[in-house]
Amino acid sequence: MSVTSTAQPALRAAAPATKPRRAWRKMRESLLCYLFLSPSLIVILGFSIVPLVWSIYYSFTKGGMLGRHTFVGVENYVKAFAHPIFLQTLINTTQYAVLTVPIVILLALLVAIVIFQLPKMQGFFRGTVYFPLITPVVIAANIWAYIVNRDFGPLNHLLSMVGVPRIDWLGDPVWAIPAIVMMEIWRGFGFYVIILFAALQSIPKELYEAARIDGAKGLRIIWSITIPLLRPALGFCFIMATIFNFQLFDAVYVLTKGGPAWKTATVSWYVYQQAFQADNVGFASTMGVVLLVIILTLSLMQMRFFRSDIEY
Amino acid sequence: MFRSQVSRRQFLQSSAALMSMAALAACAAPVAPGTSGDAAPAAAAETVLFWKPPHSAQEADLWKPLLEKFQTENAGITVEHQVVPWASVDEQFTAAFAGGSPPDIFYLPDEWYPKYVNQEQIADITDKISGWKDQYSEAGWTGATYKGSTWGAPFLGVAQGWVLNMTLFNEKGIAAPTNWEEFRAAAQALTDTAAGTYGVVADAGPTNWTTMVPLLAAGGTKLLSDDLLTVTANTEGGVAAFETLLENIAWNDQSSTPVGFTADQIRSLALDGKIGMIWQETSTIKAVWRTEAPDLELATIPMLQLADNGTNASWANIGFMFMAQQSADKDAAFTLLEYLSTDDMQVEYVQKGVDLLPLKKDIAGLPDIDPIVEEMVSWLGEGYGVGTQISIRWRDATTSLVQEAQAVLSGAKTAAQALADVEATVGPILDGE
Amino acid sequence: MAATFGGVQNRRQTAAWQLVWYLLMIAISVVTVVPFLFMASTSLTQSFTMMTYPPTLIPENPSLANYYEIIFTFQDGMFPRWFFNTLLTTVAITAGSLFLNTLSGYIFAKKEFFGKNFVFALLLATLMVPRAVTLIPSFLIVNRLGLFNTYWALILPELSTAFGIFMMRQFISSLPSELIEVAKIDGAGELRTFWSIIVPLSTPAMAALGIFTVINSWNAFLWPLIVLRANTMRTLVVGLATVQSEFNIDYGLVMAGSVLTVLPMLILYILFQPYFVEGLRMGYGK
Repeated sequence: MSVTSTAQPALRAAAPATKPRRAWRKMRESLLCYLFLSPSLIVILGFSIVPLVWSIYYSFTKGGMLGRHTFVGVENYVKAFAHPIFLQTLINTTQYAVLTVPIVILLALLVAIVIFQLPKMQGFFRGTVYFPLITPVVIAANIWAYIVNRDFGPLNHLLSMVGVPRIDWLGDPVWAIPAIVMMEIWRGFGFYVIILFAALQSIPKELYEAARIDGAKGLRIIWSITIPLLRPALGFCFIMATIFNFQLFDAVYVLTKGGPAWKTATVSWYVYQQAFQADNVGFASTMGVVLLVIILTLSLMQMRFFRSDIEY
Repeated sequence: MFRSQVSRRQFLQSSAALMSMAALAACAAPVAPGTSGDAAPAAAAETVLFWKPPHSAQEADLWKPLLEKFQTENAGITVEHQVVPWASVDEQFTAAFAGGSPPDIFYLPDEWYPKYVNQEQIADITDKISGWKDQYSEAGWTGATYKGSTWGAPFLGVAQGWVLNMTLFNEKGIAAPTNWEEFRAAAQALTDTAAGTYGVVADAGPTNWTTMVPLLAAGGTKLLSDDLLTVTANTEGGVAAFETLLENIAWNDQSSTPVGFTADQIRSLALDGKIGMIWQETSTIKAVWRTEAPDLELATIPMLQLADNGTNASWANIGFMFMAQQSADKDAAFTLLEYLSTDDMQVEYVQKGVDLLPLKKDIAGLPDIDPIVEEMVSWLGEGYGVGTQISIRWRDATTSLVQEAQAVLSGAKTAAQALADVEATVGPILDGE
Repeated sequence: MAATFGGVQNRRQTAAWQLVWYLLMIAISVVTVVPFLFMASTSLTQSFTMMTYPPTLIPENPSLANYYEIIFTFQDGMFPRWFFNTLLTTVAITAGSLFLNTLSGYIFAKKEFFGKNFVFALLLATLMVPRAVTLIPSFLIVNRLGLFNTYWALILPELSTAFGIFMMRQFISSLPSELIEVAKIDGAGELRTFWSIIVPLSTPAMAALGIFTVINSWNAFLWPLIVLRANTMRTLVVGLATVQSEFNIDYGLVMAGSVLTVLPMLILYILFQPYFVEGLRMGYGK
């Protein structure tokens, strides 16, 4: 909009006259903005929001992939919380996430700090830790299946060198989830390393200098300066890791198919199994909604805890 | 003024660009190919889409000449054949039905089809093929009946039993077992973890219901009641069955392959002669064992009787050729179905091609039938075959059975607990369907 | 770039510690990279198991036969077809989504309009919705639109994502607004401002987002599995996974296919890693 031609009439007009003009202009601006946003909004509406609402509706019905659904009210929810397998999936998913999230972020933090201190080859090591993430999950999962293989895998081989008896990782109900935890940490920690490394780079060096002049050294500096300043980045990592890991699906689908004895069945996996195999779409949607509520609650709690950073 | 007009023009241009993008997206819909990307049938010809999961590594090659013959005899019909991997049958079929472009003719085993009948995706062909009944064995025809209608043309039967590696047995001086004590003893004697040999493969894979169900039969029970309303496996016989194979052999004495072994590992060990007893399908004898391990001496036994009211048992189930509900009026599809049900197909594909069991009466056995296969087939004649109970809930029930078996195999649960859990999880969902 | 945390006093101790860190990082790198190398080594053999035992890095009689077979003869040339499918959809998704996400990120970052905060919050909320919830209805929507078994089924849902918009928005907010004011005064229209000013300045963030998008599209598994039906339409990852569940699978062949699937991503990552990290750094630098 050209400034010169419209400005003068605007200046000359009395205050009341400019308000409608400004409002009209803002309306035009808004419409223009929404116009430009429309392709994005249509896509997100169509593939995120509408499916969400649809799923919520389905969670109150009974039916399959095709054909009609009959409304059953909260019956699905009542059934779900008495359903032995669904309850097991809640336990499994929580066990898995509680193990994975803290460990993967802690590991990533340590590795990021270590790489940060290296005078050379930082880029190389950042590349190698991220490597598993550029491969498809199917391939990474199959590799891991061999690493934890009872008789031929290197993990048991290493353990036997320190006297630990061989474990049938993927076959033992007790060790199957730890096996998947290890796999996801191995596969995913590189992502958080990159984020935390970037955050480390943004801490001004002067702070370290000042601390050193004050006589602090090494671990003390890391503890009192680095980590508090990394709080926003750590918060981001925790929230993302929680959201991501509560949805664990690929490893279960490829490796264990929920077993042994339902011990690796996660909520996402069981939702998929019920929808596609048992054709129980209503109940599957119910379980999905429960998962959604859990993730939402956890995310909000974490945002409050790591407050002050994820602000827009 | 001039400047603002220019920007207005740009505004119109940009909105036009955005609109056309959206229109392009919408336009893609009718232009999108409904069937697979490549085939371009002539305008006058009809295309029949035929899906079948594989029963052989050479599935596509086996079908080529057979389908070419059909197309020659039926000018104007083109058959598009697709091999659907077993692992993605659920997704592929569900997606195809939901997408409105399902295969016209497809093969599914008895465990899988009730779900699709329930979704109204399989054509009720009772009227069309009721006249064929006499051509088929009773077992085959019964399997095709569900909820009072006939849904598919019986196509092939599968038989499974224990295959014994007699070379290994002979090395250790043990005879083939005739009862469970001998079976247990053999499994333990044949296991030598230092040498990497295992007595038995206590199958923990996702399809091990083919071992579990005969085992239950050996213990005198069935998984579900005949009216499909209750789980009947949780009896003394059932518990004994689980205990026998799983608890006693697998865990305590480590005489079976570990649960965590992958399928290809087990296959590799078996063909290297390192496994004493493995549950196998008749189709693998010629195609896999004789081809890749010709020096191994083989023998076969069924699942041995366990309880007084039990019997010897082996796994036997049936697969059918179905027609999609959406293609019910497509004559070309039915023509293919008729062709697939000819005696010729039973001999050429089922017998010669994949070494499985034809379901039509009066099909003579092959002259060069392998003695192992012959014996496995003979058990069916003696009534040892147990298989699928046709029900929508069968898959759920067997999934539960599989999961609980894994728990027992790894020592996490006792057999009694496991079967009680199967009853607890499957019982509530049974509704007689 | 390296910062010492000043934990040691003299040069010898520093050098000793650095040796420790290097060894540690090498050990970690071995754990993350070497297993894939063993798989690649299997691709040079005629193995029937996923990894040969004992695992060898260089097989006895290495041969490229598997590569020849998978490219030329496997299922009558299905592998190149899968490669083409994956390439086409990845390029389309990346180009389309970079454009839309940057545009939308710009609007959210620099423009004021009615309901802006609400819409943005809604967008972010969708990030927390698990895939399990949206998968089946999205699938049914794709069917209703008639896009089942088409490239559009893969491309359309990814043309714009909340994550991408968020990332671009964060980055663009850090760009000085004066540049946009200047453009306005010069009479540039919206799209012109966007194209000639915002886009060039956003290249680091676009490169980072671009790489994320490329890798995710290339490696996508579940969605392509359920929306693509014909073998000819499959992507590399789905095709290989379904092949793997077959009879008598020749693992040497599958590994060759896997190596060829990972290789383009590896090359891309090596070439663009600096942009990748820079982009993230700038996103956090503010």
